[in-house]
Amino acid sequence: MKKQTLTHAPPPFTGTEVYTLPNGLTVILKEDHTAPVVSLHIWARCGAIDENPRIYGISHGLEHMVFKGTTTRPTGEITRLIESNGGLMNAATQLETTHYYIDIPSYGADTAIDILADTILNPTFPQDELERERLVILEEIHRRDDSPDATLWDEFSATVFKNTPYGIKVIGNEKTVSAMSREDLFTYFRTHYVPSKLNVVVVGDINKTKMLKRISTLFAPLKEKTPPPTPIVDLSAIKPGRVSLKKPIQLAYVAMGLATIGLGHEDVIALDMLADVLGGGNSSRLYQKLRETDKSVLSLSCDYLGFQQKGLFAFFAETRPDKLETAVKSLEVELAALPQNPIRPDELKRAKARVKSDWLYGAETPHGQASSLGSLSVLGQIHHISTYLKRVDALSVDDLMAAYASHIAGKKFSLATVEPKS
Amino acid sequence: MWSLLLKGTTARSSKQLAEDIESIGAHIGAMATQDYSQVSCHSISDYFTEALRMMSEVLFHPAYVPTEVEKERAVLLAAIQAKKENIFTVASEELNRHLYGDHPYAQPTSGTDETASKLNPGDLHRWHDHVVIPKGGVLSITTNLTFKPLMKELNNLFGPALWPDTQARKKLPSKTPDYPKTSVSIERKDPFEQAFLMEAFPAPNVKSKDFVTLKVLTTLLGGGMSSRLFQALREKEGLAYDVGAFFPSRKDGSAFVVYLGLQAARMEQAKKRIRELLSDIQSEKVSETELAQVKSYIKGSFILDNQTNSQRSYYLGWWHVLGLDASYGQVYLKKIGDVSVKDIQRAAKKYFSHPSVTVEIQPK
Repeated sequence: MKKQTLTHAPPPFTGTEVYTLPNGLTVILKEDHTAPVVSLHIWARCGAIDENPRIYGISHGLEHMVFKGTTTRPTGEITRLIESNGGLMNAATQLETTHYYIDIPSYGADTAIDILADTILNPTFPQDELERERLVILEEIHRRDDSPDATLWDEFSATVFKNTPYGIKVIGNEKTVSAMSREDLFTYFRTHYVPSKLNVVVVGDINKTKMLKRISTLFAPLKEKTPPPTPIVDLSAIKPGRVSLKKPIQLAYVAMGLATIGLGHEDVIALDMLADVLGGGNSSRLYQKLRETDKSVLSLSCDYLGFQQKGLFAFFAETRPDKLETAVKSLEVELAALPQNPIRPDELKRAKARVKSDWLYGAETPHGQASSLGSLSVLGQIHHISTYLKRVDALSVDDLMAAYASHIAGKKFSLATVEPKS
Repeated sequence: MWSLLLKGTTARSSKQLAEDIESIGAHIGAMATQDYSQVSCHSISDYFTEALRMMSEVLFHPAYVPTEVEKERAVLLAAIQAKKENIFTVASEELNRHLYGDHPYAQPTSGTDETASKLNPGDLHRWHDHVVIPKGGVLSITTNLTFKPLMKELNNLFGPALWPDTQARKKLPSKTPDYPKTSVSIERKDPFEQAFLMEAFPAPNVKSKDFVTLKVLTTLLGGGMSSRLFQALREKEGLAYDVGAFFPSRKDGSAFVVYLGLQAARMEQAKKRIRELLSDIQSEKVSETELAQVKSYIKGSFILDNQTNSQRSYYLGWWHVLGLDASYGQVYLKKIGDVSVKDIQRAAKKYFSHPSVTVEIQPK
């Protein structure tokens, strides 16, 4: 068994231990006795990008089905066991990852890890449960269609990442969800839920020696199997696009951005900070300009969203419909004028303070710590845990302007809007 | 418009305030609910005193500059419009209008187009003077700093000197809502893909002897994934993605509310099943095992919900402002443990026999 200790990681991550079991499974453990709580996660490096058009939505469908029963635990038993131990469980599917977790008072931690292991090793995906859950997912699709924010994201990502795996709608569509079979689920599950694509993360009020022993025993039967290669996200043929959707809503929702570097790129921290300076808080440059001074938006944010291969640099805003064009124009003008009106040291200083304190707040709970560790580790980026704050501290205004010049300046942005039907 | 506290003080402009707060990585928030208004602040320990100074300034010395009021009024009016985009909000506001009669709980905290469009700096100053009074207020702090040196600073920032002429002001009167005498059923059509069902029964306030029992009953019926509503409506019949029940902790009176989003064609099936589930719990005792599981779930949720300083501080203040002791959390857990099978059945018979208000939204 290989072991790595994150000795130089800042608190509260200092001393986090990362193991690789003989079958290739990654296990991350961190003791935190601040509260009598444990957060247990399984992160799988598979999501919508691993799907083909016939099975769009299957990663998400699997997420719904994993807790439905195992060879020894009938349907309903898993939720009953977790909740009767005071815990809560949930799961989430994204483009590159699927994530299962249980947060539980420490007296239930052993039960929780037993259940997580059982769901990964011995799921049954009962046919009758699939039929019922299919209806639930279809209802989730309808619910999503009623949300302007969700619709905006779907339209925007499909435009920015057109015809690439990052443009896939994670939830799938009515046709693929209606056709999803039990055999499809098993095939996808056996292909992708293999040790080298899985991370088990446990943070909280545990004895890590005992927890490691338990996890090693529980997951030992999981046999290593070479997974298929992750689909390549090639952006070379992508052209910026514009899309506008009309819905029976009141406000206009806008997303403007471009596909850019992924988490492994050396400029990623600078780009992340640039996004924060521009639209990361109420004192940020574009929030002040567009919301407070011009009054062209009701809310505004700017984000860098990093994926394993590529990333997204984007603005999201809500406006009154009559202000939409003005808001978009202002964003374009302000971005283009950045070289003439460069980032100021006081802006960077505030952004650093925001980012650093948010990092600490995010890591205040075992759940927050486990989420950061799992999401980065499963994509091969756990080094960010040790280096992120130091790299943020070291950034200069010149670094941010250089990132702007390399990745933003002169590039055309894609635009998506969801607007009221007239 | 309580959020206008953050849009400038007599000493700092809106922009300056935002910059000063964010330059130390702090968060200061302001929100108003049906029962209380709150200013909150969190920061890393090194800057906590500085953050508290700004929090005090925000609370006691808002500027309500006319241009800021005008801007935020426009934002508020847009937000009021945007509520029509959320099916849950549409259903719950319709429900509150019919459930709470002429009690203020019937009104949305955001106000309405009519009331919001008239708000001006004078109104805001008057309201501020009316609600920012020491009686009934509470300052709750959870920190790893030593309290003794902090107390002197707290006294300067929030102590008696800041409340010179407020003792004579009266608290707002409280009264029990005048609930409907007969059941009310509202059907409306709105431009959503989903249909939505919400049904509410009048329920007691936080000081009622039935408060804790009804919390257990609510959790048993709709509080988690193993609850009866979730199991029956989502897991067994695949009727909904969102389904549950809630019972807000309120000062004057509350409601037990069941909700679910579903396909329009399955509305009657859902209504019938909900009726059966409520009837079952009135006529058949729950098992000791099920009750014990629900209590464990509540206890665990309580622990999970009190992990951070922000959460702990919030709950200390919350219990107090609802008229209970700040340490009521521990009493609450003890009372949860004391709820019996008989208590559950008695509460179900009592409260689910009251006239209810049902709101049914169909896609337009």
